[in-house]
Amino acid sequence: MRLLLDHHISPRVAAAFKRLGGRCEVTHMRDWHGGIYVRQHGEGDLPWLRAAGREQWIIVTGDRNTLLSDLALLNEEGGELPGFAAVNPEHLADIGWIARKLAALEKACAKQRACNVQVFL
Amino acid sequence: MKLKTQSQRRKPVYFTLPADYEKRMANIEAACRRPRADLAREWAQERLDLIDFPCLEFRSSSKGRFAVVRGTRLAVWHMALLARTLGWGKKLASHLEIVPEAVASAEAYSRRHYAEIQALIAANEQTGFDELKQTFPNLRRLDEAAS
Repeated sequence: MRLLLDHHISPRVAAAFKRLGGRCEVTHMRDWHGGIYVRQHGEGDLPWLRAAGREQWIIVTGDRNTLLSDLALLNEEGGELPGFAAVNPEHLADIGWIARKLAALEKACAKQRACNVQVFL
Repeated sequence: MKLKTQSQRRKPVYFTLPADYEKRMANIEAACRRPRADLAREWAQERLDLIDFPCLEFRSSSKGRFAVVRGTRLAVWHMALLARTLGWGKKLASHLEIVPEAVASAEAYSRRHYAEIQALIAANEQTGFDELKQTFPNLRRLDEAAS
């Protein structure tokens, strides 16, 4: 399992998750491929979503409207989808809450393919 | 009847494009299925905003265009949502590990385009479990996934 934290999720969630015993790889968008998929692939999200699907990432995001709509477009394309874990907006600033939920997600879905992980935290 | 003052009067912008740009404009007009006047207005507004908010740029999604911190997909509306809890300022910059100038730019943009930002936050809040389940039939709540 590999978790990709969206830009509006605090990068500190990764360290909090590790302190809770989380074992899987956690990467923040700013560090993923050195940030090139966002900086150098134009103005849309589909290029990096396709790459995240190919690489079997689960995206942790509070953006349920714009990002998940684009993920639905990718679904229509028929390509490999990344998984996603949607964070409730009221908990978006709560690093500990997100880390605890990701630890629970790891226990629940560790053996699943990323594309099959579509979870509302 | 009130007369519009000089500053309130909106003057049309007329321009033509060189031949090679004209062809590209026609292609984009067809691809976006929007009249060129709409597209040109949007581009001009965005360019004027970027002059005032140099830390920002615009990204596209299937739901439209929105302002983000340059080089990221950290949207102003994402930050406005976080600012409800953390406030605009150092705490938000520290939470996101970004420079305070980016937060200041986003705050100023959010104040100028208050309705646009609030509408994006509202649209996100209205996209709940049931709505997403229609698009993603395998969607589960975490406690269901754990059981």
